[in-house]
Amino acid sequence: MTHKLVVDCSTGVVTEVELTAEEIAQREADAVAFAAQKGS
Amino acid sequence: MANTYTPIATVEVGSGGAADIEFTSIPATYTDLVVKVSARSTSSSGDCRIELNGSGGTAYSGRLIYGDGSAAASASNSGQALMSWGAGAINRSTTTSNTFANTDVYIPNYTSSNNKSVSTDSVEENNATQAYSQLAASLWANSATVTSIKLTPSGSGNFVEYSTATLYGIIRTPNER
Repeated sequence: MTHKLVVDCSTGVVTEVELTAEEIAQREADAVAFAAQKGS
Repeated sequence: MANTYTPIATVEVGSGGAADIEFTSIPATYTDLVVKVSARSTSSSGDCRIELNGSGGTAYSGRLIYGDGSAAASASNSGQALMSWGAGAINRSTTTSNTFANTDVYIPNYTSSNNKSVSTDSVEENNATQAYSQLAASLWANSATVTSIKLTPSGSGNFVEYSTATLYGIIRTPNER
């Protein structure tokens, strides 16, 4: 899964946008950081 | 009490799933914002985050109380790049198939020049003893008007098909202060 759904509230148009390499890396980093905060 | 509840935009995740759901170009014509979420994740991690205005940084903090069906607990954090519990619980991949968590996110005074608070009330659905319900209070230490809201499942999870999110605008009534 490498895309996000972006909803433009001014038009109502929903667009599929590919995640950038930076966004993917940030997701992985956030997952590691979050795991230490709450175990659910 | 506010008597308007105007739907601004809604999205339903399609068959391919989605890593994030992001509302952009949010109009500054309301008093408060509400996001109602019905969601399930591909991850065994059961929380959903919020990032406002794509800001990142370290300006987010939060306080959480939750129950898991057996016990209650709490957690807190600060200096975060996103609201760890901003969009509440999300059904984990280990929960009963085809069930979805329900969440209300309330963002008051989103156009003010003060820091932004976010209140979250959510419950997971699971045909088992373990099912999370949680309340969270989060803060974004930033004075900017909220123009975008991004929802992201924890644990690098993705939203599964039929997950939905709807953004509403609230306008206070004339006699409110």
